Amino acid sequence: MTRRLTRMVFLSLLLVSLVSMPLFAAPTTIVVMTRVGPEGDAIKAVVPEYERITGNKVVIDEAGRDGYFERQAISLMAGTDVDVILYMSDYAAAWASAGLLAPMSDYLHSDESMDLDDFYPAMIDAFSYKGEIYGLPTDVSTWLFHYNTKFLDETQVPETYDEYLELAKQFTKKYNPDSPTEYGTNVRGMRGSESPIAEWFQILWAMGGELFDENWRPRFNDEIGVAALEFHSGLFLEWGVVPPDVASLDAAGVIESFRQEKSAFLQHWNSDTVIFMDPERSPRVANNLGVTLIPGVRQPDGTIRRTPLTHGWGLGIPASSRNKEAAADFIKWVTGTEAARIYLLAGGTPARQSVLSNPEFVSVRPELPILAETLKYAKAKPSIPEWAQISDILQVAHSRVFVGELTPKEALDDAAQQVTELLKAAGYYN
Amino acid sequence: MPAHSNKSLQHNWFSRFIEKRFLFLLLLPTIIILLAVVVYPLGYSIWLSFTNATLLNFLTGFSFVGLRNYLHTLTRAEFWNSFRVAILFSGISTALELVFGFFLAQLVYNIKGAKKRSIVIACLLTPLMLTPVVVALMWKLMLDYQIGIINYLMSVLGLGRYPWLGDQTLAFWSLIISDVWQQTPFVFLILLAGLESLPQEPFEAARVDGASRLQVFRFLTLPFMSGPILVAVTFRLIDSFKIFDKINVLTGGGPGTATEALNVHMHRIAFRWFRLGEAASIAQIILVIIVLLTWLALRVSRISTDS
Repeated sequence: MTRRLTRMVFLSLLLVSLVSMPLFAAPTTIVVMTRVGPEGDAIKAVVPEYERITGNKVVIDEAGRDGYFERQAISLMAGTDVDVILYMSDYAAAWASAGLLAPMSDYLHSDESMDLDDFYPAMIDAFSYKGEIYGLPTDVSTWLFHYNTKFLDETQVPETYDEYLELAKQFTKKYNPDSPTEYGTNVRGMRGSESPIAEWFQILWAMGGELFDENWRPRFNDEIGVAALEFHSGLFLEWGVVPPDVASLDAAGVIESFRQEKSAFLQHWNSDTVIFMDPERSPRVANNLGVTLIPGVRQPDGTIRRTPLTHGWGLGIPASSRNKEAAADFIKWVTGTEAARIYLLAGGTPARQSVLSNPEFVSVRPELPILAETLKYAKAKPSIPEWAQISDILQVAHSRVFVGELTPKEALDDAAQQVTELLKAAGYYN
Repeated sequence: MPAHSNKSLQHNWFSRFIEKRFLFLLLLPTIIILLAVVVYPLGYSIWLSFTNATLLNFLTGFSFVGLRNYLHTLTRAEFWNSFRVAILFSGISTALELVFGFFLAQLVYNIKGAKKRSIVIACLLTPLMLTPVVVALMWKLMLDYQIGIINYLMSVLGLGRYPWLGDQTLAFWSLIISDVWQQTPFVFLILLAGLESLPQEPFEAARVDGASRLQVFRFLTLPFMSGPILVAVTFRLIDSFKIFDKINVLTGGGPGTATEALNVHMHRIAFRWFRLGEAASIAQIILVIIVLLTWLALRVSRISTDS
């Protein structure tokens, strides 16, 4: 009898403890999917402080750079246990339209301390779809002009693309046998990334062109678009101021070439500025690095029209997350002004105007004023679900031009036809 | 006692079941795993290939479209370009690997001394131990125009420098070189095992009869080796037809579409174009081609053993 009683008491205690476990459950655990690299590192750097303040636990699920997007897509579709994802603004519209991300406006507007206006407006737009916000920017990316001060000084920095070409010739042995470098600069041409076409967009926009008209009909194959691609591919095909293997150059290739002083200057993403400034990673150029605005096109009134491209990385909440509230709190904290400081010192580039213009940080990150200036003119890509496909069509067209398979006109007309078909099928027009 | 007999009956029934189904029970875990990771995904992918599923409508709903994906795929010039690239890549690299592999196998077979031989074999097998991505990254650095060691050595020798990965033809051949470098040891290993299991008598008889080396190779070694050769060729053909990793790292399918083999093309359709259904139709086409290749290889091997 006693035995039975003890057993019953024991069992009921067990039952009660099991049922009440969630009530006393330890702090919420949030799973954050990030990518290996500067953005992921910066997030890892702010996590300990967040855990200390809130008592919540953060599990970082870090994935490799290659195939990150694929893994993310599959994870979102399968509805795995991820509460926060680090993703590129290019996919915001696609994921949002597919119902893979949770809208965030409610979480954000209820909190006045967020100060959404402090973010670069282009960045908030990049993470918005049909008036709803699907992520907050953690990192802003744009293009800067990097040069080696051993070879050229501030006064020689090109203001326009014509000057850019002249300078490139000056540092190309073919034109100037005394040049310290064999080729003046580098451009990216390897397929599989958007960077090659990003450079072309920047030239196209500066020349006054547009990718689409207001009805989403392609405009990138008009006179300006063709002229811009003729200039960009001409750097290789016509003038030969870049190495002959540009069609296979990826980020690592152009970075290495500049770091090894094989080229005198390089237009590239601002995330690489941090790499060039680091004496350990770039012993040859770290102490003679110049950073400035990318060139543009001179306007009739004498001003320069510069149109650097911008996109960003940000944090969003998968629709399948079971901790949306906690996830939103985490995102708000990481993108807030307090964390931005840690984030910036860890090598990230927060998308907040107040942080990038804060003179306090300039001693650690001397490129910040230039970056803040660049972001004033920066232009974002169209934020539509079909962007990834459009981008791929343009990447292939660009690559075919660079190997001389098609002329810029032929390649862009073909691309325009494919893009028109695609958008027609998606219901943009008939 | 009835209770006891009942128990023993039960026991007997159970042990008989175990005896009868023993093999089946042992195989059960494997069967379950195969069903879960092979049969189910394959069936699912076949089903997907008849739908208009994309990454964007996957959760919101997609529908059956019959053979539309297959018709669309088979009428696109890009698909046929990728098909050509895959066939050329697979054919040329397998042929080269076979020639080099056979040559190496003969060389090593003739080495006297077990220790010496095992050292050589270990060295030759190293490339095979590396993952394809590592191999591709290594070759990418070596083939770089400005900082690569291959161009450096060639310019020292006065042979000039070449944009190995930046030119459509060179990029294709660079891919082949990297694959041959890595996969020849595989062919070598199979052929060496084949050589070592050859019967000695016919060769001694040929020597007594005064056959030349070429005659021995042509009329004895080759026919005896047809089995191992076919095994190696079949494996290599199938494997290289499916190549993805090396291309993705070395050229990304470019320049232009010069190295966009079928798998790279399929990946592009699925993850750049989001078209899961269409990509699944390409996957089924690849599967059919591989089944045909295997069938052909088996047939050829039966004909050659019969003769």
